[in-house]
Amino acid sequence: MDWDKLQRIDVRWIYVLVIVCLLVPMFWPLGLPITISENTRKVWEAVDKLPPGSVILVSHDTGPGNAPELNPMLSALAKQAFEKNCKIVGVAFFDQLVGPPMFQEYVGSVAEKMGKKYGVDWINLGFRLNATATMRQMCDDIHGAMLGVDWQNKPLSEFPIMNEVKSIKDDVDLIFVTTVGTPGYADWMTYVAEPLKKPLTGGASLTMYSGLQQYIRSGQLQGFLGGLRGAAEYEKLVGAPGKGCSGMDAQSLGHMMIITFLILGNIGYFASARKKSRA
Amino acid sequence: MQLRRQLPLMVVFVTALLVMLFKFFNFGETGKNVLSQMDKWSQVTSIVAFLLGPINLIRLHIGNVAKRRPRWIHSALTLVVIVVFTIVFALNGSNGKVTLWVVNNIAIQISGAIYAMLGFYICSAAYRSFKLKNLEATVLLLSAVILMLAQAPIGEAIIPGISKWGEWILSVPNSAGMRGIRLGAAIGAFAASIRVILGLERSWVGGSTAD
Amino acid sequence: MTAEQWGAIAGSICIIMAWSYLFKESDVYYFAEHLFVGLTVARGLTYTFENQLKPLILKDIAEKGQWSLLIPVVIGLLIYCWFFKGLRWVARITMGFWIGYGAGYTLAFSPPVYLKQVFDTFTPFIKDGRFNFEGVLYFLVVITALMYFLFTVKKESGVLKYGSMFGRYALMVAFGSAYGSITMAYLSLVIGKLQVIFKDALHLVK
Repeated sequence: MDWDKLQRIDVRWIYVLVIVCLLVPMFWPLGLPITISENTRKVWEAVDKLPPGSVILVSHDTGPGNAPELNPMLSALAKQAFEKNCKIVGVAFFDQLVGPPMFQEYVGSVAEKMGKKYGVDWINLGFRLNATATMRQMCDDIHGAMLGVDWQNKPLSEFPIMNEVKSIKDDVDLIFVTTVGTPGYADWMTYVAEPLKKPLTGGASLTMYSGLQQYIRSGQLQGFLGGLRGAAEYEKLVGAPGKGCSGMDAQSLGHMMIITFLILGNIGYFASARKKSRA
Repeated sequence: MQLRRQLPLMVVFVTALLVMLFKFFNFGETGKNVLSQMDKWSQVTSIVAFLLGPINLIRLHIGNVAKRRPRWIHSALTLVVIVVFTIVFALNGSNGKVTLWVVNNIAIQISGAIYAMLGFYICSAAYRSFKLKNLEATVLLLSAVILMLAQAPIGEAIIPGISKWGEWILSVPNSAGMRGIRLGAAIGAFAASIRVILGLERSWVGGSTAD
Repeated sequence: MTAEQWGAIAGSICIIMAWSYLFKESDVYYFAEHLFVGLTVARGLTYTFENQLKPLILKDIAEKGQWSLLIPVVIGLLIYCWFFKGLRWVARITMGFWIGYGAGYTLAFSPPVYLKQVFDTFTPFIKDGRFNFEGVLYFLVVITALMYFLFTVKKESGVLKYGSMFGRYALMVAFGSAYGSITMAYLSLVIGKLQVIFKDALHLVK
C-alpha cells in the first residue's frame, strides 16, 4: 500500500467522515455505560447538602458556540434543585444573545414539568453589562445591581422570590456558574465567592476544563462539570437522561475517529519520511 | 497638550487608588459606600457607552458600501439587517416572542455552527499536523489520547479503568502544570496593573512605554 | 406546524449555510455570517436600551432621584468623543476610569485567590505515615513549570537546566490533556448542531 498517498488526501473527505461517524450512533445507539467522575459527584453533593428552601444563584455565562455543552447542565441542575425545593435565581454576563433565553428555556421547561412557578420558585434576571461591577453590587444589593427589573423588564418587587433574595451575602447559599471564558467562574470566584466565603460550583466547556482543575484541588471550586460528558454524568446522577446522555455515543465514535486519524496521519508521515531518506 | 496625556493617567491613578484604599483599609460604612458607589458608577458608564461598538461597526460598513470595497454587498446586507431587525425587536420587545424566535433559531444557530466548524478543523489537524517528531510531541500525544479515551464511554469499554487514569492526569500533572502557568501569569498581571496605575504604561494614551 | 418546528427547520438551514464554508467559500456562507452580525447588533441595541438604559434613567435617576448618577452618565458619554478627531483625548478619560477600576480591582481582590493556590501547592511530603507521592509530584511540577517560564536567568546547567526540562515535559502532559479535552468540546458542538438538524427538524433521531 502506498501510505504516502495518505498525506495528500482531500480534507473535505475528512469532514464527510466526521459527519458520518457522529451520525451513525445517533441512528443506532451503542448504549455504552457512563461512569461518574469524582468532580461531577462533588457538584451533585454540593447541591444535595443544601437544606430545602435554599437559594442557588445560577450564572449562565455561555456563548452560542458552547451552548450545546452547557445547556443540558441547567436542566439537570433545575431537576435536582426543584426536587429539594430549592429556589433558583438566574443571571448572565457572558452573552446577552444566549444566556437569558437559554436559561429561560432549559430551567423553564423543567420548572413547568415540576409545577414550579416563575417569580416564586425561580426567576431570570437577565444579562447585565460590566460583570465585575454588577457582581460586586449583587453581593450587597441584587435589586440595585439588576436595575430593579427582570429579563422581561418587569419590576423585581412584583416577584415573591425577590422579596426573600435581597443580596448574595445574606440570601444565597450556592453559586452555580456555567462558564466558557471571561466573565465566568474566575470572576465569580475572585469578586464574590472568595470574599463572601460562598460555595462555588458549576460546569465549564471542555475547552477550559483542564485549566481550572487546580481550583478544584484547592477547594475553591466544589467540583465542576466538564462539558457534554459532565452534563451526561450529572443527568445520570439526577436520574434525568437528556441531551447530554444522548450525545455520548456519538462522542465515543468521534474520539475513536480522531485517534484513528492520528495513527493514520503518523503512518503517512513516517512512510513519506522513509521514502525521502531512501531517495 | 501635556494635559491631554496627563489627565487620563491621573484618572487611572485616582480610581485605582480609591479602590485599593477602601478595600485594604477599614473605613467602616463610609468605605463600603464609596466602593459600592464606584461599582455603580462603573456599571453606569458601561451602560451609557453601549453604542460605541454598534456605531463603529455601522461606520465601517457604511464606508465599505460608499467606497464599493470588495464584498460591499454583504456590508449593505448587514446594514439592512441592523435597521430592519432593530425596528422589529423594538416593536416586539427585546424579549418578545418574535425576537426570541429569531435569536434562538437564526442568530444562535449561525454563530454556533460557525464555532462548531472548529470540530471539523481539529479532526483534519489531528490527521495532517499532529506528528510524532520528537519526545515532547510524543508525551503530548500520549496524554491527549489517554484523555480522549478516558472522557468518552467507549474508552472504558476498551480499556477498563482508563477513566481513572484520565482523572488522575487531569487532577495531578495537568492541574500542577496549569497552576504553574497561572501563577506566572498572575505575577505578570500584577506587574502590568502596577505599571498602568503608576503611569509607566502609556501606550493607550498615545505615549511611549517607560522602562 | 408549530413555531418551534419552523424554528428547527430555519435553524437547520442556517447551520447548513454556515457549514457550506467547509466545502467551498461562497456567498451562502457570507450571507449567513453577515446576517448573524446584523442580528447580534440589533438585539444588543434593543436589549441594552430596554433592559438597562431605560430602567437606569427612568427608575434609578428620575424616579428614585439618584441625581449623583448623572456624573457617571457624563463620564460614560465622553467615550463618544472618540468619533471626533480633535477630541479623542477626552474619550481617554472614560477609558482611564475603566482601566483604573480594573487594575485596582485586580490588585485588591486577586491576591487571596492566588495565595490559596500557593499554599495548596505545599502539601506535606509524609501523609498518614506514608510517602505522599502525588503531593511531591504536584509540588515538583508546579515549581519546575515556573522554572521553565523563568526567562531572566541562564539555564545552561545544574538544577535550573534539569528542572526546566522536567517542567517542559510536565507542561506537555498538561497541554496534551488540554488538547484531549478541547477535542471533545469541539466534537460536542458538532454533535449539538447535528441534533438540531436530525432530531429537532427532521425527527429522524430519537
